[in-house]
Amino acid sequence: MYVRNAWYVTAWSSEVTREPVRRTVCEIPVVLFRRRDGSTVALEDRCPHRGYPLSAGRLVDDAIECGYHGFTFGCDGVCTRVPAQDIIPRRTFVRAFPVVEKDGWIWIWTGDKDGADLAKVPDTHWMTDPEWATVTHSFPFACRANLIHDNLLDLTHESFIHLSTVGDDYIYQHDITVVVDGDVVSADRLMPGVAAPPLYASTMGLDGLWDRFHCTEFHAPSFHVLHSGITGQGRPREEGYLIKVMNGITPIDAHTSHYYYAFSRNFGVHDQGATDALVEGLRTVLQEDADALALQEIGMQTRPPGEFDVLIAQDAGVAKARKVMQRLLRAEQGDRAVADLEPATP
Amino acid sequence: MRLLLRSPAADLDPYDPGSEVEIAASPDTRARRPWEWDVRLTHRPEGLSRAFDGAGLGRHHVDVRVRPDVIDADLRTLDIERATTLDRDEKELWVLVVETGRLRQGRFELAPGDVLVCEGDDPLALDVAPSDGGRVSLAVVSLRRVDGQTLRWVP
Repeated sequence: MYVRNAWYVTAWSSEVTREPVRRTVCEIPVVLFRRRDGSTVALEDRCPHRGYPLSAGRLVDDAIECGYHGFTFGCDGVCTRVPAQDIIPRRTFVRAFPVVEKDGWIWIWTGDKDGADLAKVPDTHWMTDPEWATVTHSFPFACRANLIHDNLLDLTHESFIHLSTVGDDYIYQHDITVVVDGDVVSADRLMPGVAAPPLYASTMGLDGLWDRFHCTEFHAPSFHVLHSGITGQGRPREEGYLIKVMNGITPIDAHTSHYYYAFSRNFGVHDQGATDALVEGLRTVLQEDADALALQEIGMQTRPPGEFDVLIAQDAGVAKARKVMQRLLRAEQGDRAVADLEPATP
Repeated sequence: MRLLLRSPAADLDPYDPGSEVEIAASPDTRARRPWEWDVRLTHRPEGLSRAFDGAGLGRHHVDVRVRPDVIDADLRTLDIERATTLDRDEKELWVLVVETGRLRQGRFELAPGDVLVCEGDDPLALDVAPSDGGRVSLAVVSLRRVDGQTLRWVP
């Protein structure tokens, strides 16, 4: 069900300290903490002794001590101490995950350690670029991760779910271009000569007509960068008011996900009022998505076997992304891994 | 709707004569509807086809298979030497494969081996041009329904 040889956002940098913190990624319990030098460690959050979560323990220098019977593990997952005896049994180790900390995100690789490919960590440089201002949110979503991927790859829902913020009728009236390049699927929409949507109009103080655009760039299996903005009619996108929305979608289990969200803008960078308005406005957008997808998850769970999605042309990005995900799963885990998945097309 | 596939032939196994890459098909879940047509990249053409060679992708074919009682197909080649507009009938689906040269289409540049599928009513007029002043050779597959209805497709 989960692509394993991949990077998943597991926490914000600000969430990881010298106090252990627990996360669940693709049904794997993970404990995160920092070494004394500030670097991040990610271990499987289950003591091999009798299954107690290491996150309920404490740090001793750069090691983590289980809070139940004191088994102690180094940053490499190797047990260094069993208080009740001198001999450490051979099976007394926990899995240590490759970790990348970049631009305020903490990623772990859940697959074969030797395959951890740093080049596959998506670009998020806007987060730390002084030319951009960023707002972040974290949201639990009561739905499977694939519904969030579908939601981001088909933004026509903005016209119905997000009426008070980013939605307008003209969105679904404009067609898309889908680009597939390896494991990256992009769904691009240009909306020429339109009014700026409410959230942007109030934040940017704009009126008149603009060329609006958005392009969801899905880096399978877990991360989307939404390149969005408005620009003068007929003008290049790069000249406009630009927004980069970064979406780390991390499966917790088959029916819940964690959504790490970052919204970076290149206008009003030092405008605190704009930032405050965006914090609230974007929280509204995310809550609207969370509410909608929770209802959809119920629909998916109660749908009879043999009944499938009826996809339309605007779902082209959704359909191609599903195919990419199936390809990744099949290559990694064989045909059985995709046997029960929703077929890509009707 | 436009679907741009970057170098799909890179997924062909040059050492497996049975290797193929599906560009577009209807349906691609055969268990649920009768098969009507597909466009593939393959070493073993079975239908209307054109051979490709070079561009670092090895020799392979664009191959078009149809149920002739449902779908009409044709395959032609175009040489693009200057900016031009390709007009597509709304009822047709097109698959364009860049053989040689680099093609500008809107804000996208297509390299040899890239494939562009156009369906529906947007866009009907494709403005294209060589992006480097050279010449672009395109293979164009056109599909249409025998019954005159619009050929709709979701990838």
